[in-house]
Amino acid sequence: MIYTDHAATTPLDTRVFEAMKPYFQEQYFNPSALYSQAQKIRKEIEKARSQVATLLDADPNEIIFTSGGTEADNLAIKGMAYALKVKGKHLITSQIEHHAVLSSFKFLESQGFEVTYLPVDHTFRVSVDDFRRAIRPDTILASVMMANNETGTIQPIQELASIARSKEVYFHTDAVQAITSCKISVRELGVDALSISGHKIYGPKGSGALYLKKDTPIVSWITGGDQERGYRGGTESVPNLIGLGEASKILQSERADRESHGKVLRKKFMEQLKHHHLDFQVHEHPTYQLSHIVNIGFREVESESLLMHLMLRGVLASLGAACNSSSVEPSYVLEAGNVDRAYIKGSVRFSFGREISEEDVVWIANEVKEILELIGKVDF
Amino acid sequence: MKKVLLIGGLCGMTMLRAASMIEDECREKEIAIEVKIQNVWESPTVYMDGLDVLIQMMPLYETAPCMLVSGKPFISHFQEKQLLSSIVEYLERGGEAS
Repeated sequence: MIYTDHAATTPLDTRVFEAMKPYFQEQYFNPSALYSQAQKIRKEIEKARSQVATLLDADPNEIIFTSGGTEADNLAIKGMAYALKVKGKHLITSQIEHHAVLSSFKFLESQGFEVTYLPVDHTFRVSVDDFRRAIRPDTILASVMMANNETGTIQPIQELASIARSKEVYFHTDAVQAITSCKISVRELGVDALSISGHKIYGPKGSGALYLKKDTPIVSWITGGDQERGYRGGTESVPNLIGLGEASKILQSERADRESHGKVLRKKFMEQLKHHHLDFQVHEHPTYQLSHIVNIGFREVESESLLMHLMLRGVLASLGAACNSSSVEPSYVLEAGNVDRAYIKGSVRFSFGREISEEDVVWIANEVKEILELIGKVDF
Repeated sequence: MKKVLLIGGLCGMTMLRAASMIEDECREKEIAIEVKIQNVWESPTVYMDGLDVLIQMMPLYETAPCMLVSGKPFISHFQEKQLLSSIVEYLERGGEAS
């Protein structure tokens, strides 16, 4: 099997798993308890927090652990909007956000907030000018993803955050996909909040974090105990948080290698597809692009059929967003980028990981060619 | 007993609807029939032995040892009735092509 769906999730790193293991059965104590066994676990959680903070160039006190990227997005968007609603009720986001973000904004709309959904160009990038024009006197919060999960296009976050700051608008970015191969410094980006997820970086599912800049107004969305400084109640999922910390530490040291490896694979894969003279187009930005995501539209091809044939040959890929794959509707991200419908329906997302070799991608490209020939012969 | 199998993936509801339509038509014509659906994402191996009609909702097989039909009309609703009639007529004739 060759797994090419790393944008959906990544396998758990063995080193991460080893770091998590003691906290399932031996070190099971509640970190909020007073005894020394529990206090030791508290220290380990704080170490994990520091590891995440180091990865993001943040202060550990600015990291709130969550159950994943979705929860981090919900907390940031709903929590900040509610905390700021006395100042205004206008919010800004983009049309191509992940459902975790879009659904949060839809919820806020149902609660009386007004949302502007920014369009993207054919490279799936938000226009800085559009963003500037969308800001109104009553705008309180903007959220634009750092990199898109379907196409891998990287947004001009530093510029957007700078404009937001100059207009006293708070700015959040969903960096769940970007963190996998972009070096992120929240200080350089100038964002007020940023979400990440553990399972996209070879960490455990059920782990995530929200960077929240010091003194940023927010209301808690999950109330309960005083865990996470009151921002997120509930006993900590200790193994998952330890895992997230370890995965962050490993990513910090291996990110450059992962990024360059992704670039090599991407280039090789494209070359091979071109070599086969296939009719396809790549949905990407020519420069601002995550290295590990390749979204390709094959002309007049049923992508589900292509994916099925790939699976039968041992290659696992995706229709686009995994969250969207239970629907046969065209991808809203590709539609927002005005992709020709002849290519939308034949769109497949390959997302490569560190365990994939150049030989693998050459082989996959050859299989794609064979499958397209086969599908072409089927009377459908 | 005639056997029909619909194979597909994401179009689960469409397959259920198509299966129901085939069953209704066959009941009217008093054709004993068993219509099954198979999600090939869950179960990729398709057993074709004993089938009279195989309806594929996406391009998977070039040939089959029974009547092989594209289920596209059930998705697009274009020429759906014609497809339904041709399947039922085929089954009525005892599984022989006209």
